[in-house]
Amino acid sequence: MLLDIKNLHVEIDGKKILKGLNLSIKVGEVHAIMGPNGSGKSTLAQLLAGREGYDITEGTVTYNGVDLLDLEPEKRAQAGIFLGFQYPVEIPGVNNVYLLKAALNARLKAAGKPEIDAVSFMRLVKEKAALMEMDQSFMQRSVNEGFSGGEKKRNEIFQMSILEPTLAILDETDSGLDIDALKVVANGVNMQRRDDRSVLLITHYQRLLDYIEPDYVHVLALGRIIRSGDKSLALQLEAEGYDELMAQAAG
Amino acid sequence: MNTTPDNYRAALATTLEQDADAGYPRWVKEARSAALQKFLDEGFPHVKLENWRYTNLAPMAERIGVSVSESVRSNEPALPASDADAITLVFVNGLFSAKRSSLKSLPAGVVVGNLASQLENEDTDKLLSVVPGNSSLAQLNSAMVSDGAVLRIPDNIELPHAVHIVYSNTTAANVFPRVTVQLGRNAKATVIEHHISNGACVSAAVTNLECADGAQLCYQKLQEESAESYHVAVQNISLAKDSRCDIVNIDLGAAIGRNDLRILLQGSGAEAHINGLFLVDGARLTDNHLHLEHQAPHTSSRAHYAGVVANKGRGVFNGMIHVTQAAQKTDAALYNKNLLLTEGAEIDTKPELEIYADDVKCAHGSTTGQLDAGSLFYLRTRGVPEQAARNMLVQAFATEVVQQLATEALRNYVLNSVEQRLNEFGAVVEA
Repeated sequence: MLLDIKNLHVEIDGKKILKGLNLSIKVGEVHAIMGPNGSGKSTLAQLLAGREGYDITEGTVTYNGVDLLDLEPEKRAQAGIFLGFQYPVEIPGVNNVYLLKAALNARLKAAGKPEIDAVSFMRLVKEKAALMEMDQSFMQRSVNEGFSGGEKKRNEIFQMSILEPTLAILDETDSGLDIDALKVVANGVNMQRRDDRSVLLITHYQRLLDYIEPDYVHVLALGRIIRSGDKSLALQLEAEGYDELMAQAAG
Repeated sequence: MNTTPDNYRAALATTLEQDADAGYPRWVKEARSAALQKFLDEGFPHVKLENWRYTNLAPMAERIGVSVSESVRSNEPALPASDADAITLVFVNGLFSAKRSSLKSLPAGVVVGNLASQLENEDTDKLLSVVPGNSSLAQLNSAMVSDGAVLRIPDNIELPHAVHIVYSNTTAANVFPRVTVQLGRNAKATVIEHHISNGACVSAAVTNLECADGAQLCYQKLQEESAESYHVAVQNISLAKDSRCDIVNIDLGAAIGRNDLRILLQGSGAEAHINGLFLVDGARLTDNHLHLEHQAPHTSSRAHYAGVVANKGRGVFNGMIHVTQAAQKTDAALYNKNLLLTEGAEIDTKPELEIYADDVKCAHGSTTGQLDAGSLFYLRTRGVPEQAARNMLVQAFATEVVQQLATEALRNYVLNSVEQRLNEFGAVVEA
């Protein structure tokens, strides 16, 4: 089991957000979590990546057999977890490529491998940038600085393609994208799919799942997973909305 | 009432007596005595003075009078590489070192040399004079200076290579560095003044820069004194009609470090661009007082200072834009932004405007904050360890100023120095 979340209860400033969430992801699987706005999808994503400010009142999260909640964000990343942010931040003065090199080398170092040399790294960057249809100018620019919403999302997937995470958690990666950008992003994610890697897609709309076919679809509402199924569940939600399912779960 | 201890008076008088046989012309000796007397009459700047309320020089006053022979010598600090064509003047413990310096053949009429050799020929009026409005420390420097750098560029000459002036200190002695730069009409030059020490020296420096009509001066100062040193500097720049100066002031060291930078825009169309950066930690204090004096119409100035304060460090910034009645159409802007990296770090910042003309554009602002938590988290989720991520963000903050430095070698050197200091800061903020 790659990621095992058991009975997770999370509060923010005394307000209960997650109320007994269970989720298991095996290596090689693609899971999608859908749910109404405010259901706690982003909270889950950020929490898994190690953001502070959440009060975990009950439950466990295990990653590769290790207590994930015990690890610092950088240790989680070095262990192979990647978070694609819903709203990637702009960091003026920190170069895109500089950050990626530092990140990749941190990952390699944690795995006991040697750092990547400058030439190989630039080759890798150019190769992946072409695949993600990134404008070459990004190499001179600061992290996400002056990027449109779509470019920021593409940059997240581009970073993911360089870092090759074992578990990619993508938080509403499709929001704000037009169809062309969506296809590029989906293509990037699909190229990551391997037997030894998993993806957790958090999405509000079913549309992304036309391009990235999930093995499992879960509905997060009322603080927990109220229904799980395969990709047909997504189509059902698209047609019927969340109300019916939520009424059943509450009752 | 002066609250600084008095022991320095006797020490200074003695030192001046000892220096009397240094071989200077008689009028130099007399001028220096006069300057010393003026300094003693006024005394050290003290905390009851408005401009010195945050900066107590008492610890520095106590160390006045230590002579070189009494002190233990540390290793000479390593200097950044300068390219083969650079003109360098190196002073070790205040004295000119021909061996370490490099004065290539210069265009005709250009004078680049040490003060001692110039004093033979020049009126002390010009080379040892004190600009009105300077603190008493300028008098102290005139009195006690043992050597310094002089750069004179005639009209229409552009100096092709930067001039590097290095003051390297290895002992706890007092040094009184003095830099005099005069650019003729339409002349152009870049001057880099680098102070670096391994010993716990006391440095009271004066830098006087003059630009004639149309001249363009790039002046960059890097202060890297040891954490036990005291470094106070008075910097004067006068700008004639249509002249321009681009200044970078970087302070990375010293237990107490202070720059009093006075820029006089006296000719119409004169322009001043100033970038400042200071990093202060431990229990150190860095104080930047900036005075922009707009005296003529159509003059402009832009000042941007960035401060990084950590642990129990203390930063002080005071920027005054003063516009006289004659200075219509002045366009001036002054900004100070500061990063506080830990609890206990403190910054006192005060931009000021005094405007007597009625058709001007003047702006000022000051912001103080911490590292952006969202940015820090983002970097960490990419696998960058926390301390490295903090350093990256501080570097990013400092970069805007560092990028203004004249050469790539210098930029890399400073970024490296900043990195080293950040690793020494090493403190982690409690959320």
